[in-house]
Amino acid sequence: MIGRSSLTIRKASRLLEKQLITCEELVSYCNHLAVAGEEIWGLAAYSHIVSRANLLDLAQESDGRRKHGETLSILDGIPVSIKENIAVRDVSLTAGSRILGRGMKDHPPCGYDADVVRKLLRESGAIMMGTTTMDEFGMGSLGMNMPTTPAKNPLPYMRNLTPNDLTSLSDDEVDLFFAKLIKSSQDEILEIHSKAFDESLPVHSTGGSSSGSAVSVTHGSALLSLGTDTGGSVRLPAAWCGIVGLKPSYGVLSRHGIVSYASSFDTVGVLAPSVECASIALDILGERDEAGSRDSTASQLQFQLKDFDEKQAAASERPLEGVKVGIPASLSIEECPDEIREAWMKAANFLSQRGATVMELSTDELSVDLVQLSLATYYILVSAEASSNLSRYDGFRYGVAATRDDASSESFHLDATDLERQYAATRTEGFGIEVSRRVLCGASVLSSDRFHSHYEAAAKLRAALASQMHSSLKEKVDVLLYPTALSAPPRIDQGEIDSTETFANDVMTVPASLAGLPAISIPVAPKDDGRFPLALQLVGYRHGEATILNAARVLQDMSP
Amino acid sequence: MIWRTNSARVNLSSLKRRCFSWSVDPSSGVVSSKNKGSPRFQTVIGLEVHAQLDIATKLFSGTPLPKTSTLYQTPNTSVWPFDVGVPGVLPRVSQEAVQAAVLSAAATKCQIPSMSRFERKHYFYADLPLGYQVTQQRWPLARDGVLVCQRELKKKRKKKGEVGESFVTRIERIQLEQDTGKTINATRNGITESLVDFNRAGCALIEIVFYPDLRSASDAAVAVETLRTLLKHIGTCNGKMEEGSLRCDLNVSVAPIEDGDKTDDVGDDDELLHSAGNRVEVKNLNSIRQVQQAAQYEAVRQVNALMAGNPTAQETRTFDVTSGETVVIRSKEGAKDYRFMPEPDLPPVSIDEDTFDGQNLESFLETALPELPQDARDRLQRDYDISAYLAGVITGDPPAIQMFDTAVEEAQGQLSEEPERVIKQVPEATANLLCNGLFALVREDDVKIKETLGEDNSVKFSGVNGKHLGGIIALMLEGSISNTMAKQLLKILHEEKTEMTVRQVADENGFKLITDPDELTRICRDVIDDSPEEMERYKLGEKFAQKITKVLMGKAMGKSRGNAHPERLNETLLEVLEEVVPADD
Repeated sequence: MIGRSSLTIRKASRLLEKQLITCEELVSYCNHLAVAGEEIWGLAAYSHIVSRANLLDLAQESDGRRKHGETLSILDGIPVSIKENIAVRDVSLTAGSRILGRGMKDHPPCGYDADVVRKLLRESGAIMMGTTTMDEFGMGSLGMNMPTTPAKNPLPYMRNLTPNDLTSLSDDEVDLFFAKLIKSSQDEILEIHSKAFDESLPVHSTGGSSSGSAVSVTHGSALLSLGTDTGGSVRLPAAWCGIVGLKPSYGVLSRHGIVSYASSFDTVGVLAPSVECASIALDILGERDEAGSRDSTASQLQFQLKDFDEKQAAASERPLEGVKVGIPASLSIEECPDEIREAWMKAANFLSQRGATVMELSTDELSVDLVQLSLATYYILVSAEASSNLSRYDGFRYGVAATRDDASSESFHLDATDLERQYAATRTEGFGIEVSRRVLCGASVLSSDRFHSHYEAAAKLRAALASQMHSSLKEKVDVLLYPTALSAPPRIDQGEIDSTETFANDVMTVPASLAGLPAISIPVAPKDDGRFPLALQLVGYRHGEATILNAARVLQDMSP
Repeated sequence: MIWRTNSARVNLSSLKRRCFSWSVDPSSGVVSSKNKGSPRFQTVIGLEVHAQLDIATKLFSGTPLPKTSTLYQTPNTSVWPFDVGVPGVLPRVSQEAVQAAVLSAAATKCQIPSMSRFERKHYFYADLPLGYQVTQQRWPLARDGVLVCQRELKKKRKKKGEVGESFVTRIERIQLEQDTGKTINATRNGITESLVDFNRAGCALIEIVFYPDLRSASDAAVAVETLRTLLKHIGTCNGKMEEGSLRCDLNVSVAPIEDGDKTDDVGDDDELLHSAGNRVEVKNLNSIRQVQQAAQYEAVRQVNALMAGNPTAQETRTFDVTSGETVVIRSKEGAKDYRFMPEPDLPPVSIDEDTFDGQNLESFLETALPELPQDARDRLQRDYDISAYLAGVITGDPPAIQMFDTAVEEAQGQLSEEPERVIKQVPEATANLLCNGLFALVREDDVKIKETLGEDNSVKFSGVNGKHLGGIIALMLEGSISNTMAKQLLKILHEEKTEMTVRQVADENGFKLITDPDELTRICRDVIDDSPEEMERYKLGEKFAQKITKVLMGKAMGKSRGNAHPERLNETLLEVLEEVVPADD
């Protein structure tokens, strides 16, 4: 987790620069962690782990570049993971769905790179450890809508690992500690994991839909993960797994190569062990290029984070001088548990002590009604877009098709043509229950008798909420501060979970998605160590990523 | 499926048996019967035309398109990832497509709002790879245009300079959208297989929706042809209906008319439309002839059904080319709910500088929209005083308009020393040589051009340019060459591109009329010397002399191998004859 005790991009890069470790050693270490996590802890974080031989080839190339002073970027040689709905040319692109070959052996690779993958892997030199598991097509908050075993929250096992108490060490000693750790043998790593494993521990949700991404970063098999966030899919798993999750403004990162769920919401996001890691990633991924225009909805803004001087900020007593932080009253809802409310207030004080002006955003400025309706609004709109975007999956051109026998089943409508039967059989077999539910819901709200009362009404509410959030963030405050989630990760080993109830997990993340605003989730320590971390999010104005990242850097120091 | 088709057929033929006495007048659209006192009906027709934009790529995918129709390609070769809905690949609108759509809208005098939007129209079919068609619905690219049409006359009447009557049909909207792929059914061993070809999937179309202003099958045919010619003229659609580049849907209904109503003055349109029966849509007509046949068939069928007490429901039909009948595809109850939704992957289309490479709409149209056919016809007639027929022929091939302008200017320049009388002949002579000479040569290569370039032939493929044409006219009118030579010269220049001037080519080929008096005199003397018998008869005078003069003239022209200037030769011959046989005083 955050703090001196975790390995960050900056730290790994420094170890590589100082030649305390090689890239080969680093990727081997991360690969051992990934394998141990899957095989011993059963995390189900990876849908595909890149073979050691391939990883070592890439690591050697990176070491070679470093030797000649030709590293591509600070990410050169850094182990990363990528959510399985993002195209990586030599891996199959399944979006976690059977209909796209998830769970099938030898399913063909997709053959092209998403824009963000091209930048991260090919142009910046990061090394992909594997692709990560997700709720099918991004639909889900718990990491349970998967055709295979759900992902597991790794934090209970990680608490059993010997804690790294590094507080008394000098910087150089810390570096040596990590160098030694990274050079651990596979046997040592497997042994540590076996010791920490306890079958009797309850299984908790990772949060979804970027479940595997969050797990891989929390566990340490990746120092950065690319996820996607449609209504909270990066922020919620980051919160529940105790890491940083950043969802940039809609349109900042190209969607070319992302399997569409709800196009007007889908955002590529990053999950990282620290705010700085997220910031480094955004700086590199957000750079505009010619190819970026393959996404017509990408913003034309040249994105650049302000060069943040960490040392200077640390030296300053009041690094947030002049920053106005709003606490939206309408998001302070009854269901919010005391523990979270306390952490929220503590964070507000913490920011205020560091120079920020903290003020309440009244219910006139952000209406309670709109906030209350935002969840329904969100589900109507994403279901509509999902039903449309998923229409193409019929098994004819790619993915998985039902057999002729399935298609001739008598359960279909009598009037159906052969083609319609084939479609129905493929889609029934290929889609999971939650996906089918949203596709049907979407088809319903778009039908001519519900279009105005549902779809259009929701679109109007979305516009109204967005307009209130935009004007609050333009005229009154620079960032909003409120919780990412209203609960700790629920147990998932106790039978059925009600689908509609799980929608409520998104209540705090959905408003920023409806408005297309940047948001970052920061873990804050719980009162006692045996519990899951809590998380708060900072939401900024459109393209205000630099502002929320600066505030987030300060906030993450609240829990050392 | 087979069952449904059969039942529709049975219904139709029984209808036909019962009420064969109704007929429709193709030019007025009035449906009537010979029975005394029976009611009369007016056909009401609206068109929806899909025109494939003639541009270098598909609408959203950037897939390059060959010059020939995708019909002639190996199936599934012009296919890029977006065309088949590969997950993660997003659309990007082709600016060229927007430009072509804007040109088409401007040519039909539409209003072009500064912004239009794409929407998704959902239905499942094998040739629709995304499960939806990206089209425009609530915010189309253009609205409220007009198409000015002219009724056709027989060629004889046209050549006499008569002009067909004009009528206007209004355009409701023009929208930009994607084409679908093609499903091909093939039966092998008794099993029907459907094969899908995505070459056409994602090609750019404009759909032009007309108001129901048309009243007859022949006017519908004229309107489609006028639109086809117009789009071809401005270069946005190649207009090849046989290849499906232009497809037409008809909306047909019939309305009762009072006995006294005049058919060509339908009077109150609102009232007529109000009293019209249910609208029937006939889909995918692939020729002008089909448009006319389907409209006539529908009008009669609908009156028959109405009179049989079984009025037509709102439904969609297709035209069966072999039987000449329309067949139901779906009724209103079976109508699909297309679940329209704003397209979230594409921003609105802004009609601004970004769309026109830095130009605004006005200056774009200024440079990119050619003179429209009607305007060009009017101008040619007015400025050059040529016949409506010739003006029509010239504007039929857009590049010929400029060629004509250039040729006339060139010829008049070269003839500037000549008397006014000669200069005045230039436009008429140029138009004639262009229409009767060059177009005939161009037509000979039609097949070759179509095969190699996939385009309709045009004077633009000829070696002859405007300056050449003007040069030939100048030579002809100044008397340097004969009409025959002019045509031969035209053929040489047509077949081979050359850097030489027309005069040089004429000289090289010996195309020069003999005007030298000495040479003409020598020719005439030789002919007279060689014709003693004729001369004997000539001396008989009067009728004999006239007749023999003609004979000698022919011989002299033959001796010059046709190269003698005819009038000068005639003058010289008379002079020489006068010398040899002086007339009695």
